[in-house]
Amino acid sequence: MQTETVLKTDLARVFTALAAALMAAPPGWALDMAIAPVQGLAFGKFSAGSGGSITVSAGGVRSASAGVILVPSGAGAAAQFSVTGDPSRTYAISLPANGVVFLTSGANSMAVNNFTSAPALSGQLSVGGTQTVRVGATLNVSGNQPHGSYSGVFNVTVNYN
Amino acid sequence: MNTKMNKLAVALASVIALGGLGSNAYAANATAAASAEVIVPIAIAKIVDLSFGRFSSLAAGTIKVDTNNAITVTGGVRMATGSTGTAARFNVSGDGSNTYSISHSGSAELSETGEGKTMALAKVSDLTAVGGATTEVTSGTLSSGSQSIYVGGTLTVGLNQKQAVYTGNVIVTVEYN
Repeated sequence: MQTETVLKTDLARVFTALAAALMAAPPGWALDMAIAPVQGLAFGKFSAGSGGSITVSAGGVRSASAGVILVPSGAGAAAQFSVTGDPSRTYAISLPANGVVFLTSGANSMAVNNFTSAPALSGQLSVGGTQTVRVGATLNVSGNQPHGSYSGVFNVTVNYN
Repeated sequence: MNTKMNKLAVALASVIALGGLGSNAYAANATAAASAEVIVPIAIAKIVDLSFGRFSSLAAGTIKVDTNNAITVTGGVRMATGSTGTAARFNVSGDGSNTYSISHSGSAELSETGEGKTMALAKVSDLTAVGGATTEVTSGTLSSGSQSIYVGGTLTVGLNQKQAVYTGNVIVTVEYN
């Protein structure tokens, strides 16, 4: 008899905990978030000269500093991602930290830092549950950076607020 | 029994604890490509100067050096025997098959140092040295990273143009498109 009582009590605790967990888990009813790349980040064509940097804004505007000479015919472009999930829900955007992303061409590399996005830190999905996130960054170019086609990848993470 | 249920409770609690991390389970991650193309800086070097050679002017006239080095005189201008002219030649170097703009500047006239007498200079240029150009070429396309620009011109020579050596500068500037 004593055993039965204990059993009932423990079961009650378990069910209570389960119920609390279900109530406290509205994400359980949410759509999964998804993010897909639509367009890569392009710094375009340029001559390194004495070195400097190239910034592509999240709006896609390319600018160069110091000795870097942009070649107008080789335009840059901001990256584009398509984010989908719950309608009207807000979410956080996480961009790569500095010192993580590099573009390489054989043994040569250039660091990509200072990632920016539009919207910035936080986005809000449309009524239809979508939003486009554009991402820019700054490419560091050494003086006499060896010529070549450089490429790399970077990650963007989104998560419901 | 008591012990068993406690184990069950612990197991369920573990599941619930995982569920508690739910918000992270909705994080989504995407990878995009990033790219850049570093190209060889464009450069230009003079290979040959523009030269009109030696001539005289019994009457006003002109002397033209075409991009193919052919000389044409008008009016009272006469080339000195054995004198020849040459078009200027510039070599452009850069990256692959990129296109570039060409702009011309420099002296609008050649001058001599004694009295500052001058002769007006009108330039023509092409990329082939074929001759017959009537204007200055304004754009080019590198082939395997190189191309040449040929610059000729016409001098306006006055009656009894002072005997002297006349000089000026022909400047060609190139920039990637």
